[in-house]
Amino acid sequence: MSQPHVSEKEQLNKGLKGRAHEALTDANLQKALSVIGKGFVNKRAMALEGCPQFKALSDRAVAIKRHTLTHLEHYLEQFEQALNAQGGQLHFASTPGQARDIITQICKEQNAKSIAKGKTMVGEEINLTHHLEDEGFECVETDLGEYLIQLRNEIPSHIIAPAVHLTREEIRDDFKTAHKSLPRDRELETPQDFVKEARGILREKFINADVGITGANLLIAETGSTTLVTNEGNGDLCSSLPNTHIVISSFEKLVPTFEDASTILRLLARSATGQAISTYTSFITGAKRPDDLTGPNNFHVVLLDNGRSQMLGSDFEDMLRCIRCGACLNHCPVYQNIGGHAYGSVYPGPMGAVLSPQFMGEKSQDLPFASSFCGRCNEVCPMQIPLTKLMRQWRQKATNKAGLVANLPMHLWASLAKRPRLYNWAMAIGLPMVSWVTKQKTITNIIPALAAWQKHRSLPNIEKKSFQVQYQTDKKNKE
Amino acid sequence: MTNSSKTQFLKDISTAVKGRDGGLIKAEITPQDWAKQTSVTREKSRSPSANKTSNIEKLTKILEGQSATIYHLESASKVPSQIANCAKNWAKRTQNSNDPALDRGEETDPIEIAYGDNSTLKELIKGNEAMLNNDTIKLVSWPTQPLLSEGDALISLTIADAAASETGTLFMLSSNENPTPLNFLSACHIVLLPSDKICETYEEAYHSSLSHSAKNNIPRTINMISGPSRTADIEQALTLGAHGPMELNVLIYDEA
Repeated sequence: MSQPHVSEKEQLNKGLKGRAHEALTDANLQKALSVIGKGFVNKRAMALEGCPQFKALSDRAVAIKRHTLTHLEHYLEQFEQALNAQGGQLHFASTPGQARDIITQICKEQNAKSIAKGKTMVGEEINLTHHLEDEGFECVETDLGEYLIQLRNEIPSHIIAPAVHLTREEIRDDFKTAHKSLPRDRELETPQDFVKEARGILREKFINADVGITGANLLIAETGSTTLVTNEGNGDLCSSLPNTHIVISSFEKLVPTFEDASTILRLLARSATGQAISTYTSFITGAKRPDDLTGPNNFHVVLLDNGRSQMLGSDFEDMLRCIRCGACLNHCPVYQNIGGHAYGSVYPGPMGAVLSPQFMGEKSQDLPFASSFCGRCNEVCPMQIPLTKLMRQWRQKATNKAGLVANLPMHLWASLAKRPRLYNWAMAIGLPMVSWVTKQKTITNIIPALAAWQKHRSLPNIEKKSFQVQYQTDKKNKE
Repeated sequence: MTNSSKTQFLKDISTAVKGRDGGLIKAEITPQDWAKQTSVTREKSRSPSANKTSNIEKLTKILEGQSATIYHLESASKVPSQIANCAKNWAKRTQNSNDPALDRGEETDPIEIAYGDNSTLKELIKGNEAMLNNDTIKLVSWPTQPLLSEGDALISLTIADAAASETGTLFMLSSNENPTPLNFLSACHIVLLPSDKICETYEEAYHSSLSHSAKNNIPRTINMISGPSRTADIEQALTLGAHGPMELNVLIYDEA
């Protein structure tokens, strides 16, 4: 499973437009994406119907995150003390490189050979699995979706359903190639068949793992607990069987108390999968207690910054409320059509378009342009993040950087609009011409931009006189 | 880790925070006030209103909707026989399965149920030990007897410390008597739930379970469990038994 990134780099070079075009013409991907509407969108709508207090919970959750982010230093300190008191250790990593080094170091100190890993988006952000493999460890993804994409050496295409882009046929081929010890002609037809096979293969990995690595959905300052939400139970096996457990997370997951965590948990699954709660939510606090029969003797929490602190105190601080539910992806017409990989970032969709330029810099500068600004993402966000407003700010930054030539049309327009007499004069001459041209189909079909536009809709009829002129005339007639 | 990385990390945060609008910060209450407000709501959740019947009904309905099976027992004395029934039914259902994960070895071997040497459980089966220790059924203590793969015990038995009816959620606190892996490694999970431990909200369940736990100390792991293990990673089709139990049986009974 080595030689990663090659295809990733190629993908990045294609740019957003190139990748989106490929996605739109990929029949397999389009088939896989077609289930998102029926699945996540409808289920979320039903879950909210069954939870009349959802809006009140959402308001409260926003207040909780605002409060925690305002007093971040206090709550970080409290979290560390409580964690230390239960035999856990906190590590601070400003960069992805530091986070990878800390984790590698811990694994080496434990003489680890094999690592069982649960799904973590921060882990994806720092490319942890590939790094640990390059360091010589066997590192197995145990979330089924993550396992499927690990077999293909891909990045997730969705933050809660990493393999949503795959069809059964593709998974069957991958399983037959990877699980060589099983009979070649075995039946792999129903989802149950696939799940059974993966369960059998991965069970062995859990039991033999020296280190378990998971993410955290929330960190509770009062008790020093990390919160783990899953449906499969894989994270709980990673956190309870190996002798060492490492949690990789980031500081914006902090909340003050269990009560605050409960409020956010009531929003998370409803927004994500449409469940009232995920099957398993676990609060993990430190290392095993002295009289426990099982549990890790070593417990580490690694907190990654990677540009998050720069968002504090800016308009982008709102984005630090994100709980990674994926509702904005599921409801985004752009995501629904091009899928996650076209974004070329581990965080796709509207939330990815806001986060990725912060984390990845120039490489993902074009992501905020992958939006029609329809605003569905703002409406469905349980943490009330103004996603389109933040995407617009990234666009502005990118445009400012693009220089004078790119901004020339806008400058011309602005100088015209600032001079009313010149503006009216230009309109009096220009509008009749534009009006005539737009009616000449033979001409409009040759102009490339207009021809493309007309493939899907007809051009509006442009009036010969501007609104202002019509208004003045109308007013005079009435007098 | 080294102190320098911590210093840098915190410095980045405090530098950024200084850029904040001072008015906004003043509008936000202090952590001390936040803790005070929390302690008020916490007191309320420590003395919940007693809606026992409606909580049991709600928990049952929601958990069944989440693919669990619920048994209401007339009294605690029925617990051992119901455990035996669940185990036998499971063995019967999976008898002709061609799934190697469900192969418990020879047909004639007793059906093994793994548990964590739990004193409450011992108390419950007192006098009825034979029901769970005979030629067909055997209680085995974990991890002496593994619970891992082919030929091992496939059924686990644990006791819930509380439950929240709001989403049909069981609270399991880890201890030497209730080891966490028993909640996840088995194919069939049997949970005992005393009816007076059923609350309405997460907060009520959390605080009531902690108040009973040893030394009033937070355990290493608290699992909130709301059904059997599941995944939708294959074409978004809901499939049970991803890594954890395929089946969750909850036995609700009144403590004598």
